[in-house]
Amino acid sequence: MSVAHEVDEEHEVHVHQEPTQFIWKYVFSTDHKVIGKQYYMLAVVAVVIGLTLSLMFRWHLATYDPQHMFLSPDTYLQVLTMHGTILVFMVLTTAPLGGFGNYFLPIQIGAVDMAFPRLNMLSFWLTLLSFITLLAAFFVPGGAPVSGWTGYPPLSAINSTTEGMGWGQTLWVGSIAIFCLASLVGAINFIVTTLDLRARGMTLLRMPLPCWAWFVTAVLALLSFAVLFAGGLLLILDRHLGTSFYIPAGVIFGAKELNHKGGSPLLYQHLFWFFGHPEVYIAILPGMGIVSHILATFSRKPIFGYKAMVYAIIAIGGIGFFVWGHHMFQSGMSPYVAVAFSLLTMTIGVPSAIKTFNWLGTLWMGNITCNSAMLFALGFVSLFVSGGISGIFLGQNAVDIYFHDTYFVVAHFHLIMGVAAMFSIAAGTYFWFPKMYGRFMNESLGKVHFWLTFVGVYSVFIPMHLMGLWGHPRRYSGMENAFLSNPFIPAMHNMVTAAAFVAVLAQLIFICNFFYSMFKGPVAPENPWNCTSLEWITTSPPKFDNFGGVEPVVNHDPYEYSVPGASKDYIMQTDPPEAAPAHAVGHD
Amino acid sequence: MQPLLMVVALFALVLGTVVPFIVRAHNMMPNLISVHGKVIDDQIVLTMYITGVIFSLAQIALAWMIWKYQSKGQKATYVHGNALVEWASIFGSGVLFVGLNLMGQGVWADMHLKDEPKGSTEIEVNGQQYKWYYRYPGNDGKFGERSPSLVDDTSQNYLGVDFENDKYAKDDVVEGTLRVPYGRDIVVLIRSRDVIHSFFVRELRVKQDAVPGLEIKIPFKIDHDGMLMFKLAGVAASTLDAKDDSGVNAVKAQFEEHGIAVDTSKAKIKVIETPKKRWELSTVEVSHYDAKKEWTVRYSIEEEIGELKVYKTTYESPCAELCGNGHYTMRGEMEVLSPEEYDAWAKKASEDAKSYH
Amino acid sequence: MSEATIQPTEHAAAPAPAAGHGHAPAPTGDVWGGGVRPYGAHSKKFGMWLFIVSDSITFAALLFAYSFVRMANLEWPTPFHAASILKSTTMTFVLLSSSLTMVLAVDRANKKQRDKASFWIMMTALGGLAFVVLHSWEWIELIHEWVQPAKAANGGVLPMMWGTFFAATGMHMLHVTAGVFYLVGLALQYKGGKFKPIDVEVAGLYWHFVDLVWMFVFPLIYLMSTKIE
Repeated sequence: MSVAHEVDEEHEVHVHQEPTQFIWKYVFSTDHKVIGKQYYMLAVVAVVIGLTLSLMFRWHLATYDPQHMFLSPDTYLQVLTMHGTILVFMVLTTAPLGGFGNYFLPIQIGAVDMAFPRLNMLSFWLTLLSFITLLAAFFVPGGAPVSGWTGYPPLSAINSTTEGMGWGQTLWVGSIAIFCLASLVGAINFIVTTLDLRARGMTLLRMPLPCWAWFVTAVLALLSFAVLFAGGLLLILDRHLGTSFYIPAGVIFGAKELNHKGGSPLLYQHLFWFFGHPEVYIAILPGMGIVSHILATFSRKPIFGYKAMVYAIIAIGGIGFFVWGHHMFQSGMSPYVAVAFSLLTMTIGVPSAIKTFNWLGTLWMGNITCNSAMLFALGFVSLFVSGGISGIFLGQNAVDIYFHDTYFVVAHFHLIMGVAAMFSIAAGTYFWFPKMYGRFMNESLGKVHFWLTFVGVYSVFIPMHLMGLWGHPRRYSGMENAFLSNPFIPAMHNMVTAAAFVAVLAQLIFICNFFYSMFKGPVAPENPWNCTSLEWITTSPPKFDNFGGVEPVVNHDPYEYSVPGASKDYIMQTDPPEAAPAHAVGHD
Repeated sequence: MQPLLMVVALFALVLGTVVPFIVRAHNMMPNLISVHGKVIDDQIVLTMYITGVIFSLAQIALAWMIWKYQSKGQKATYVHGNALVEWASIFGSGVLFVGLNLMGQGVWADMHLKDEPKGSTEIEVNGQQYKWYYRYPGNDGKFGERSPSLVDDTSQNYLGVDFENDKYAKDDVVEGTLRVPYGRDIVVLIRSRDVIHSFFVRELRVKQDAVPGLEIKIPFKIDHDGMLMFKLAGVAASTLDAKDDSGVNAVKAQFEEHGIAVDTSKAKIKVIETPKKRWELSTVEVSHYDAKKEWTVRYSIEEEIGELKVYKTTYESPCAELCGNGHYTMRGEMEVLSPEEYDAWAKKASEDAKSYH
Repeated sequence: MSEATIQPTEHAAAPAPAAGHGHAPAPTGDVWGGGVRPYGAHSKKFGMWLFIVSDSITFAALLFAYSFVRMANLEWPTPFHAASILKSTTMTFVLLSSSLTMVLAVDRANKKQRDKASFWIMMTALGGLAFVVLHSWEWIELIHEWVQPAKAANGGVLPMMWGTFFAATGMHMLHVTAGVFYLVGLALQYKGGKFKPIDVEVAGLYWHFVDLVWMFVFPLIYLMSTKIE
């Protein structure tokens, strides 16, 4: 269908007037930078709540005494469920994508704003609504759900399964459904912005790696949240309208047979993990992009194998849709299918290995400066390796027979999805703070923050692998079991708890540093890190329209550092073509 | 300063991880008592070696890069990448990971894809909040019919077995303890009556979700050679689980009762028949690893010196899938018997059940 | 500490290179010229396509769930008969006709005929409304005839077949209802001189998608549960 557009439609650039009233400028703003900060702040609030919850159950486990429990068994599971849900959805999905992505994607590709600024605002407010709905689960009769962040039915589908499975569970599902809508709107915005709004000269293969990561992440979000939405919808129907999608015949509660029949608990698991596995990459891919960006900047080197990095991001995203069954090896799913899922899972190791090689290759023969941002980026690489390695165990269907649902799994996904992603958020914050607030964060506090966190998280999760090797099942609020009453296990729990307190309390240093520096930090110039991408050609913080009314033109690849014969050790993407000596323009 | 700290931290990480994982890989896991579990354990150990090497190399390479190329005012080398490195990492990691995975498929096929061996002992494992019940087919070798509508907890018919009308049901035995004979093929039929549970016995290397609406079969066989010694020791699990030395002493006493001197004495010789081999024990030394409840018996047969493990006879079967507030209290017990003991028990229990119904 | 982290250099202090400010010669050859949309698609149109991709996955997941439970249930009731098929065929006809009027609306909009375009959008919305009314009527009948007795006999639990029926058709009806509001709002404002032809086209995309979904729901949910005596 070929349609002649009116001429004025050809201009995608939204030229708004900057609002002057506080409420339109900072609250109901359509400015991607304000929305990015709003997302980031939401994540900060969520991470404080989520980590506090984790300290509560860690304290419970360390001081466990059947006579005087710190948390009752149902409170324990409520806290556990909310910890997982808040961190996965409200932190790991919002901060790297909604926060940094909103703020920096348009600037890095040279756009004035996102493609749909009002939808962008809608997306944030839906996320906030989802967050409030989730938190409300704490305050309804029966309290928050106890079914874990995965919410497997029939446990989550029937109120009478266990105490406290009333409105809390419904609010939980409702919150997830709203979050799906918010993510859908956000994903559309990210994809259209990336493809349509790039500045002159910004070819796809000239985009900085964070942009690639946000783009692929948005595609994953677009395709995966749609399925979770359907899965959550059916769960609500089962809970409130008497359907039986997830409830088979012959289920007995309170010594009474339920009337439900015809459903399958495995159906939910398929729908959930079809979302759930890509969700892991939604959390970690932006981190990979941000870390690549920072590693190149502080090694003063072009990223090693830029194209390979791009293809690896795409491959991880693509294969990520065909491996969800590795969460279900022990679920009763067809064992033939499990073999296929297992083999596909192992192939994800290939692009992951490429990324690791290329990060090391970027450091190789570089000129490495270890400031806070770089330390967190290096920590990310280390954590990515550690967390990825345990995936080699869990991806093998035969080995997973033993490890499934033990602390080994907990340790694995916390390292790779939780902690590594958090490290990338911290790295991004130290790196971009000068641009976002026009001031530097305190470096010494940043380093203290890094070391306490780095040592802390490893001390938490490496012992957890051992507990998993021992066969410690997940989600156990007590150690009444003969095996767990073994002296080894409480000792490990004590150690892990101590380390967890160090790692979590270290984040207070970060938060204090963040808010102090926002007002009192040393003033930052336009391009303090001598970085090449487009956000550094504008003021710190950028003006309302990002580039002060001029459209940037891109002439160079994103990571042109230390080009032989160039007048300085970096070439901005917008530098004139002659800034790079002809012979030096690199191709990989 | 920072590069140095990074190097120290990464080396500490490698040592702190590799030492416990690699050096003591086998000893980190609870004793193995099943035949198929040997393959799983071998696969775990192999994976541990391979990933241990990759892990160490990657972390040390990272440390080395940070140390070697820390900023001293040098100019970074302008390199855009290397196609050879990319392709090598693609093929290297691909072949390694997929190959490793393929090696584990045999045991998966044995457990899930093949028909269970003929003449297997079938036992039903039933999960419910927060308890496991086990059903044995009884002397007729057939399970009776069951129906959810017959479930009646007050009369202790937790599984809804049709004791009234089905003649096959009358001699079925329903128990709260899983009793299995060693040396025989066993198939457990795993079911749940409410939410999802998971049947897990660490020492068997068996884990399978119990899903309402499904019946899932898992075959296993307990290795009888290793079971020899526990019969000899014959110590109750509760004693073995004791936190002091009473377990060790009890084992010693048992051996001495059999005329086998423990530790230093080499005076007496005892001959023990097993289905596979004639063991002639001359010396026995019992050592005790507190953390694992593992018992190693060092023996010498004529000139040969070897080791046998002493096992507990009862094992825990903790629920491994979140099933509600009492999830952490949901554990079953598995007791391993000799085939003769099992037959005797099964016969008597079945007769008792029949006379009761 | 060896590394100086906050050390503004002469580069950082200097203003951004002049070339970054819009007056560089236009890139030639294979270099992306900026501002030209890939695939010749307008951002809004592209965005709507992405929404359609995502939404069709949601519907696919619902229909997957339907197939999953249907295959797991050997006995599946076939309550629809000739009269109910006649009714649902009428609904199908109404909905498909509204797609036609939407095509006309897009055409008139592209010809800059605001009034006519607005009229046809309204007609489309009317078709959608008729569908919603017919469908709700059918729902009410079904609820009286089947659902309430079944629920009463079954302790408040809906038979599986009706669960899938109401989940799939309900989700679709939600889309049609939202679409009716969307179209009415668009028609009124379009007549008043707001919006551009592309907005009509984007609305058309949404409407055709909703119709297309029905063409999956109709055979899978209705025809496959029909028994004509």
